[in-house]
Amino acid sequence: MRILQLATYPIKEPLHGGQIRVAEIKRVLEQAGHEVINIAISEETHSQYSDTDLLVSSEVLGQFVELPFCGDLATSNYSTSDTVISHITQVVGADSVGVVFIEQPWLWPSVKYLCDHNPAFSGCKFVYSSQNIEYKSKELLLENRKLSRNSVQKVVDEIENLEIELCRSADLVVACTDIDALEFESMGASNVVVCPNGVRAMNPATDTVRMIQEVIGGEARYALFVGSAYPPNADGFWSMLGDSLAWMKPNEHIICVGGVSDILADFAPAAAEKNEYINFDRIKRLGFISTGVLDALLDQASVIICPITYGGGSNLKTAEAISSCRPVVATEAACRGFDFVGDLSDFDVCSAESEFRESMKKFLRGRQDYGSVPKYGLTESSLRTKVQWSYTLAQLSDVYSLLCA
Amino acid sequence: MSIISYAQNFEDVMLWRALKHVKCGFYIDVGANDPVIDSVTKLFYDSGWRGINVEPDEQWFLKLEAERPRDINLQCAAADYDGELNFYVLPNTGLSTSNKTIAERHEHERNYTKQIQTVSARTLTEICEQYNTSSIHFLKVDVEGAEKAVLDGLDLQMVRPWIVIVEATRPNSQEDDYVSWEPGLLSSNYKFVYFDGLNRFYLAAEHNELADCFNLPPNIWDDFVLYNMIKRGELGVQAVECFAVLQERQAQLDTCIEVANNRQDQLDNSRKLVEEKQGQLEASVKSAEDKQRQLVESQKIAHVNRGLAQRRRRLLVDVSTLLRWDRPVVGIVRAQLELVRYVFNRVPVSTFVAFNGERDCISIVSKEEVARLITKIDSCEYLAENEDESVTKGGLVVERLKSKLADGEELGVGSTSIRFLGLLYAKFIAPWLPIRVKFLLQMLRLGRFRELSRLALSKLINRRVVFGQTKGDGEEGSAEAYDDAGSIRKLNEVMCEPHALLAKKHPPLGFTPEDIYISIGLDWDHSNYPLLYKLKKTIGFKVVGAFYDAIPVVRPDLVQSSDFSKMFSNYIYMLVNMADSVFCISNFSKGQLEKIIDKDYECSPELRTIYLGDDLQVSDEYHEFPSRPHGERYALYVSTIEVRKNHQLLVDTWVRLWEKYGDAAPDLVLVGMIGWGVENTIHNLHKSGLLDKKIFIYSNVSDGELHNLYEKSLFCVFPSLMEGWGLGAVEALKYGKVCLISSCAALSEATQRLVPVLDEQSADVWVKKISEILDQPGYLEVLEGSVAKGFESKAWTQFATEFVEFVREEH
Repeated sequence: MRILQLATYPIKEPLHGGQIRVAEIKRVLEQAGHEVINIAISEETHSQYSDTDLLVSSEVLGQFVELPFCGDLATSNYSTSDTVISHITQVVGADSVGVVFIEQPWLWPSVKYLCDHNPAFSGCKFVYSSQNIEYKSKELLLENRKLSRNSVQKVVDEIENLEIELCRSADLVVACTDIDALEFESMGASNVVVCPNGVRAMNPATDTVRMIQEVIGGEARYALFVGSAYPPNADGFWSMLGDSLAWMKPNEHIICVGGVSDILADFAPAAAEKNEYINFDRIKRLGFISTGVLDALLDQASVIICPITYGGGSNLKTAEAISSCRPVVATEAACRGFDFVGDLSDFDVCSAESEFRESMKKFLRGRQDYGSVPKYGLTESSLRTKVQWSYTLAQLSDVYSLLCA
Repeated sequence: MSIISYAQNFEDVMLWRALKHVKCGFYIDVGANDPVIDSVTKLFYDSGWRGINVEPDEQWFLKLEAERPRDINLQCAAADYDGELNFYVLPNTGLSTSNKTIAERHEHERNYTKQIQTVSARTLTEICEQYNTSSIHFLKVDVEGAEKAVLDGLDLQMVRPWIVIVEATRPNSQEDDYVSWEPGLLSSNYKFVYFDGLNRFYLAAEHNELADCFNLPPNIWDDFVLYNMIKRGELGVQAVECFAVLQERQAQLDTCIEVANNRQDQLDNSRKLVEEKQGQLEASVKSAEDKQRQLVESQKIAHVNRGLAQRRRRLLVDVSTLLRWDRPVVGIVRAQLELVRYVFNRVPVSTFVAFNGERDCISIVSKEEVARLITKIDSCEYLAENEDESVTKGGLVVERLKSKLADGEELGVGSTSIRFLGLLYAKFIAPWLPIRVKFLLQMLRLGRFRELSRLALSKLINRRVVFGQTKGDGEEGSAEAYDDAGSIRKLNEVMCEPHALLAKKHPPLGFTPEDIYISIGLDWDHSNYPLLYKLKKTIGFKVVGAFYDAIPVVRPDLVQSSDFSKMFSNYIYMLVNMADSVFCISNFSKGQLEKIIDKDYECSPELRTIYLGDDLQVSDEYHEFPSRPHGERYALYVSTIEVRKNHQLLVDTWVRLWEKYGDAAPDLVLVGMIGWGVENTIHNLHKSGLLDKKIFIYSNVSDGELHNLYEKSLFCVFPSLMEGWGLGAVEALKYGKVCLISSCAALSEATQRLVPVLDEQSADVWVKKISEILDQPGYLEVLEGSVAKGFESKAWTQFATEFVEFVREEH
């Protein structure tokens, strides 16, 4: 089947959650034997684009919505322009499109137009794939930003209407969570499936692993902490590890990856101030790195820590840790949604700082078994694969059946 | 031969004139009283007469019984009936009477107290009948007003005394009182013959021949001497005799005193001799003890050296701090110097090492250089070097200080402008810097890891630095590609251990796994612990460190720098992780370190408390004392002048002492370099007007001059807010001086709990104690006595021996 996948961000180099989800959906569909054409109608804020992507300048978008943080809605309003329509038409060509996967609601207007005016879209099915309820997300985002209430409400209403229309029109709605699914049903969706976010199967390159080993080298051991710049990530770190990392030896480190690297110091408690030099000699803040190096770091970590203690979020980092087959120390909050962690080996769920530290020490100083060859039995290996995209998006491999349901 | 008259009024002289021819005559004495004094009958008794004494008063009766054995002594009253009557006794007088009126009159007039006794009453007639008296040559009646009753009780027809003599005046008066009883005598054929002013004499008619004897009063022809005169004479003779005896005894006494004085002198001389001998003995004992100690130390060090040799252990003693020290050696640096000196002289299995200025390389220091270093410090060459320098590293000498004060300049690095810039940076600039740039600035600010700084900087120049923003969850934007190569480079940068590079690049030559590396200096300033840690891991030698105090960590406010506090925490972290054993300067400091380790750390080196020494190296052949302006009476405080040492309290105290005593207040001498955070204190001191008037600050003081200052001080003070030990306080006690200390636990430990402890927050308390010292004579001596009695001094060689033994034991 020929599938068109439309999104407002490119997936040439998927970095953030949305990009990764779209890329994984494309992969699953392709693995199922479908031809997938991916087109991004995107703002000029990303580093890499495919040939099929269309970049839209901020000047153009600025003509459509005045409020900040509304580039996506502006793209939606721009999506029926000649530029966009002709670009999609050109990329798609004359052959029929069987299904249009619309990632988030923004490009629905262009899909509607194409269906009405382009024979290639005649009779195609629509799949609305969403990661959250957009109008609610926008409402939260624009709150307390000192914006005109009327303007904000106008924008929120427009997005809500867009979503309702799409829910009612779509042949299939793919939600991230059960709660989202119920919401879409209330908006008029008649066919909803839940495909949670997952993580990729890690496959670190041997050369990259070797380079990591050379850099880390010798007697050094590290715990890996991956997280976004979401404040509960930083808060959880200090709550679970304490205000002094003097309990770690000089050859033990915490490698910090992702946006949390930038906010860790800001969220350090006052009591940690006097230990600043000790702490930040132990903590190595990498920031954003490539997937390949991250996989290698995961593969070589003595332990992976998930210290978040409150807040929402998809806990994808916990999923990553589970998938890595490395020892993990996590909080109960980090394990929300993963009820089976109690059945996993070398997976400590800790609720107190002292427990968390003791578990970390145990893994940092214990025998180091490296390598991505799973050492667990079939049952545990199968549990660990439940967090991978191949499992969470498995339903989409038979999208045809879903569309006929 | 003269007769002795005992009677009161020559009565016996008159009676003797009349009766001397009678041998063994007989008398009756009514109211006999004392047998001798004022006795009318004593003359006659002594002449062989006898008689009857009638005396109701027991006091006189007993005396009569004792002294008149031939007489008949009757304790009764003579009355005109037989029975009983009340006798009114007036003790120790001759005035007792049976006449109540007279007794009461005596009480009233003479304030006597009468005692009433019931005595038997007898008539004279009955008495005479009882004793069958044949001839009574005279009857004397002296009964203090009861004469009539006595005479009425005598039948003069039956009993006819030749002479009757009766007291005829009222008691104690010249008023006649014979009218009531004389008629009875006259009617009994008695004739009045004589009145002597007190008594009336009556002669029986049948003995009229005696009447002429009463024509004249007593006169020289009676040839008598008065008993009182004789008594006086006898007393005089006795007095003379006694005086002679006394003089003799006085002479003997003088002789004894002289002998005693001589003996005392001999005793004093002996005592002095004994004291001298005692002093010599004590000196000998001390010398023997010193030799014993030296012997023990030598044995210990020989044992240590043997042990080290057997195990092929070599001591590597770090001298990094000493190499860079250009001030008087105090505190921590003193400890390092003394250890270095000891090891240099006594531990042949040793080598000296030091970091270079950049602290990226450690290498061996020759023994010649160490010898020169020790000599330089001992000879105070730094004093000459510092003479022309107004500012030395880390401190401010007084001359520059005074110049600044005079010019009204800001003091030190804590000036308002610099603090303001610091605030601006922290608040508005730092948050916007990317993590890489912030990290780099931090390293540069710390002055650490300069090699890494150079490496990082060179990489940064080749990269575009991106000013990123903090994004919300799910929005991970980037402005550059995250490829594997770039990510590996980033990882390399972050994980790069410059110490590992340095360890590879500059491996110390000659270090072996059998070595024991020792560093007890200001390692946070002069050492590179991360590099040492890497070297230790690579080569395998042992490490022995020192822990002096945790003040920058537990009281960062006292070091006036949060950066230093953080850096010190990191220093403790590396020390605990790297050292195999650590010596602590007090049990208090050891407790602080144990607390830190228990709270956060996994590992713990072996800890041992070894007290520092307290003797100063006094050798001033290379340097003369400068002339100092303070007075003869002064209190001394030897310490760096910084916030922690609490000089502000002393300024407050001395302002009040000045108000109270004026010029009589002792001076205050402060010896030490001026450190950080004391701008306000120095300003206050300057404003008080006491600087260079009552309070003097000296820096760059040699050991010799310090020795002199200690010796001549009145007392010492140490009001520090927090200490790990308190070497200045201990040195004071070494000189026998009282040191008033604050309530720091370490100070009490260091001074062996021998000196007063005062509240370091209250100048009033210090003023009160110092006033007691000044106002109460002997109080200071009492305090000094406690110090002299209890203080146990410790030589630096002893410290070093214990330290080296500790090293050997542990390794």
